[in-house]
Amino acid sequence: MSSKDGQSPSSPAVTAPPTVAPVTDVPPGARVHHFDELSERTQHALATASPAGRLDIDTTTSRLSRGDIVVFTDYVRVQ
Amino acid sequence: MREIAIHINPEYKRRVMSQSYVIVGDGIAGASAAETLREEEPDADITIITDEGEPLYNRILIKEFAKGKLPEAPISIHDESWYDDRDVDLELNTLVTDIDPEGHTITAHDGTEYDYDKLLLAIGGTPTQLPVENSDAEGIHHFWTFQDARDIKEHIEGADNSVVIGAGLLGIDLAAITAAQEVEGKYLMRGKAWWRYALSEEGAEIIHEALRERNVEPVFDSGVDHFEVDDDDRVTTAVDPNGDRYDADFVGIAIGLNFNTEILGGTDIEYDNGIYTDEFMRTNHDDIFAAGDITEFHDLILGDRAQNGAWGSAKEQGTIAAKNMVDYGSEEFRWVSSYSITHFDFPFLSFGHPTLGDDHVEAKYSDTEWRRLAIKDGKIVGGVLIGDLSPQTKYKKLMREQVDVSGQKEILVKQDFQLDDLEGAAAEQ
Ligand SMILES: Cc1cc2nc3c(=O)[nH]c(=O)nc-3n(C[C@H](O)[C@H](O)[C@H](O)COP(=O)(O)OP(=O)(O)OC[C@H]3O[C@@H](n4cnc5c(N)ncnc54)[C@H](O)[C@@H]3O)c2cc1C
Repeated sequence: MSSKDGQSPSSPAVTAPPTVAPVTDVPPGARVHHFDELSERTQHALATASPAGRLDIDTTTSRLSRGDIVVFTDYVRVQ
Repeated sequence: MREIAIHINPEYKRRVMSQSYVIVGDGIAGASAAETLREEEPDADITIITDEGEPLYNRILIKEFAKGKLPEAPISIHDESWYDDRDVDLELNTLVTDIDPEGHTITAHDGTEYDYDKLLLAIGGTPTQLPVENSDAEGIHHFWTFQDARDIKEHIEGADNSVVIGAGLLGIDLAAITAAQEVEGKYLMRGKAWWRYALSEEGAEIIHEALRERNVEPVFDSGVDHFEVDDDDRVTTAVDPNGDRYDADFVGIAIGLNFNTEILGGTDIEYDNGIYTDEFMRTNHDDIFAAGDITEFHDLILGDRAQNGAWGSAKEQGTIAAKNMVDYGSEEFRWVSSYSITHFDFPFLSFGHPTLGDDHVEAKYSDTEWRRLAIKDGKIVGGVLIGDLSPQTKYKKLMREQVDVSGQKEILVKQDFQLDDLEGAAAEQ
């Protein structure tokens, strides 16, 4: 989806369900959200997936996009 | 020359002439109102005024900046072009000092007057100062703005030892900042537990232990009687009411907020701790609305006046206020607020009004898992979840729908609680 991911929109990785993985550094230009900015539904999905796993959200409606960082008990990256 | 008077029906005038909206405060409540107003009224004049020197930033991420974990860039939410692109006039560094509800004008510190058809007050609060000797010394910090976070970061990075005062949700951010910056510290609390109005000692002990692991020592039945300073008026020591002394070259204070109601003095806008609004975020003046931390709103769920202090709630109130400024009565604010802590290995979330209630139920499941629900008139009004946030949605649903859980409170804290564990009417929800 974004050039940040280094993937073209048609690449299989983009159509695969999103996942989260812990990160220690925040890449320059990344969008960062605090957990409290997310909807109840997305919070639930993120808390379930964290620190690493499949994120059960619809990226077309959720405010989270691939490449975003979320500040939770770890910093996690949506990919 | 003869003048001809033309009488225009006010309702017609309202519809054909563009409205002028003025918003005071560019926090999340004011900024989300501006965004909604522009969506709802493409031709309206919109002005947003703030006494801060920068446009909207993410107030709930500034702690991560002060910890040294995030750079400045991702904390900014809007740059000035955001306002230009939406044709919203942004006035930075402008303190509003007066409101004239009859004349429909507000006045800024430099004497500039702004006329409005509809006004939104999204003015939040200011940290309360500790009324003790030397509390304005160098090295003593309060925490609300991005500038506060920059000052805290700069100072804590060179500090040797710290004291934090204020056993609540903002105090723990300060304690977490000292921990992340590896500055050993004491966290002075008045009672025997952190956030003692929402957590029992058993629940709070999970937080105390996590602090100790990070070299921040909770000190109970304490507080501050006065500070000692050196010849340069820099803080050196906090002395508590028991006479115990704690050396600290960094002090963080978070004992509460004073809501910014001074500008209401001399008006008949109703307020107490915050500004009174109805569920449409309107004050007792038809053309004046309020949103965010500053409101004491009519809470439809609680059936009473309430005040929230959380990002999501302030954002939603800004949106709802804007809709009702355009079309009064179009959407009510009905919301269960929540606030989480992300500093530890386990998650923490409080929701609703966890310090209220005439009854409660709690349970501990492990060293890092605990739950407490506050109950009023047989209904959940708030709670705290530590370790496992998965029941959040269920509890919030019960609260939102005001389900009577009388006689079933132990079922609510079964570790794997499901909504259909509840009997009768409650189970049908
Ligand atoms: C350090 C910190 C951490 C927090 N962490 C969390 C968290 O993890 N989760 C959560 O949900 N919430 C958190 N909060 C609370 C959350 O940030 C607030 O509830 C929310 O930002 C309130 O938004 P607001 O727009 O109502 O008020 P504010 O953000 O306070 O905005 C009000 C604005 O109005 C301006 N203003 C006031 N008076 C005037 C005047 N007379 N003229 C011009 N301008 C004026 C102020 O300067 C300010 O910019 C935290 C707050 C702080 C300070």
